[in-house]
Amino acid sequence: MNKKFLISLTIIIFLLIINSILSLAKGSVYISVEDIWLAIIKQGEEINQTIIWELRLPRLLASLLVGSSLGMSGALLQGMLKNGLASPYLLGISAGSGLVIVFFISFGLMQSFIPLAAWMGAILTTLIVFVLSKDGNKIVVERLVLGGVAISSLFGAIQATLLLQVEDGRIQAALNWLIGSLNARGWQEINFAALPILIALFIGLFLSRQLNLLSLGDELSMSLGNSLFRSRCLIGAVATLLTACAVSIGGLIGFIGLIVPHFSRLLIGNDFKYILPFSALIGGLTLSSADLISRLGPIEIPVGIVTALVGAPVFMFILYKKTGYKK
Amino acid sequence: MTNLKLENFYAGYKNNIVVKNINLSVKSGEWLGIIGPNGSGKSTLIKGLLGIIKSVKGNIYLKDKDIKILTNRRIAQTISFLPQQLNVNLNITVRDLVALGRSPYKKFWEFNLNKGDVEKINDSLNLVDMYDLKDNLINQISGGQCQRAYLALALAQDPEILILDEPTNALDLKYQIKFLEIIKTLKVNRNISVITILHDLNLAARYSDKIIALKNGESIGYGSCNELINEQFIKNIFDINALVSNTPYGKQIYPVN
Repeated sequence: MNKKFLISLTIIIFLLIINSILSLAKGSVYISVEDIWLAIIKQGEEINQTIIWELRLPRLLASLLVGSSLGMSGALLQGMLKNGLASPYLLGISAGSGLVIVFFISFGLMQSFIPLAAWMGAILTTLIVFVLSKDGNKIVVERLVLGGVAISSLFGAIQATLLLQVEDGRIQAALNWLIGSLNARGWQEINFAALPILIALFIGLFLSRQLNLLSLGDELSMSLGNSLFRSRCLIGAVATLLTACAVSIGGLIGFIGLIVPHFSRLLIGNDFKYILPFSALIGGLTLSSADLISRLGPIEIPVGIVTALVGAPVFMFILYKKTGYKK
Repeated sequence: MTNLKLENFYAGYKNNIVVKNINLSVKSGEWLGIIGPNGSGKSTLIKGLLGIIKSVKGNIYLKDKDIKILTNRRIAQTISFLPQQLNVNLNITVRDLVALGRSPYKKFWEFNLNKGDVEKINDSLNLVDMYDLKDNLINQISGGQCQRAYLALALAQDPEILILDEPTNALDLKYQIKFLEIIKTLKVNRNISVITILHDLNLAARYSDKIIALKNGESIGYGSCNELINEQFIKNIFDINALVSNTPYGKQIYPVN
């Protein structure tokens, strides 16, 4: 396993470097690798420095942070709920932050507060879902999932009602958040979310043993000294923090959190010690690649559309491969 | 030394006390068999004493210490439990599964196995004859091998008490005996206490030093197999007529009607 791990890790890091260079080079103005380097160390042409420092670098960092958050968050929740269909948005995060975003946009409230408000919406909704799923000192997994579904449909209905009342110009802005986009994301969003994301990613890596124990089943997991309540709360909290931060930067970017953990599992097996770091790395790689694709055409399309367009067929392929007839 | 003691123990679910007023004790190197018909509370008794479901009242003493003051990890360093339902679809190697048995000894941030851990894991794999299969995936080995891999996981916990809920269910006759013989050897060599739920009364009578019989959640017999098992006792528990004979392998029960 270690050899496989090292080879896969090397390939992913290599791809990440290539993709990062391409992301910094490509755009309406092409910048050569040499000029990128000069601009990064704040030398060379001023226009290049502005493009790299103000536009492309923060956007690249945003895509890496958001992608790795969604990747790891998906892996954490799929492991905790023992359900391959769990995505980071399952526990009502999309509904909570989506509603807040639509609320802010439809009433024309301070737009610069949208990231913070989306973050709070996500955290608050998940908190409600967790409280609803608590039974004594237990977290009932079925209630957690169903609570998420119920809250999502409730908030979704309010969100749709608000959207119907909004004037046309604002719908575009709302959709940009609801589909997910990294367009015009800058240092402000990154400064707000980077530290909590990095801390949560770091803590997340230490949750592999808890997830491995949970995969043995509740009874055996408990008899190995694992507190189900504590580990579910901790895993849920880290996953929620990651997703909320990701949403505060890029809106509701779909499919990364659902597919990336499956892909990691195919690549490296079912040990969460490897799945968690791989999901974060592959998540970052996938989203930064998708973002690169989203701005290659004459008109930029929201990255959420690219992840869904590419993600859905990939997901179907994985499903087919996992459940189909094998010779 | 008494490893485990239950006093006036009640356990169950909300508004439904399943197990009532159980008193028992298990010493080092002693095998306790729990027998009884379906729904008599055997699994609930085990889950209650492990804290998987809440005990309603009564006391549990683990090596003379009240279990309430012990942490989950401390309990897991003393008791290993193999439940009835095992996840056989895991896509991890046998060795990685067995390594999870060292979890109770690991702190939150401790990832790596030390030399002592590796020794325990290898010992456990050797004891259940699974060392050569250590790199195979759990979902690609047979049911019997899987059962032994999980036993190795329980042994890697280095327990003083081993609790097994119907451990021979998935095994053929040969492996039933082989599996129970491994546990018997462990009991003798390591002086551990063993608690099993066995549906096969002949196996229960052959391996247990003493038994507790449950019916409707209450104990209707507790003592050594030789003293307890007779035709009337079987009739009381299972409502069937049976012949009981003495054999070199202990009491054997033949159901008649």
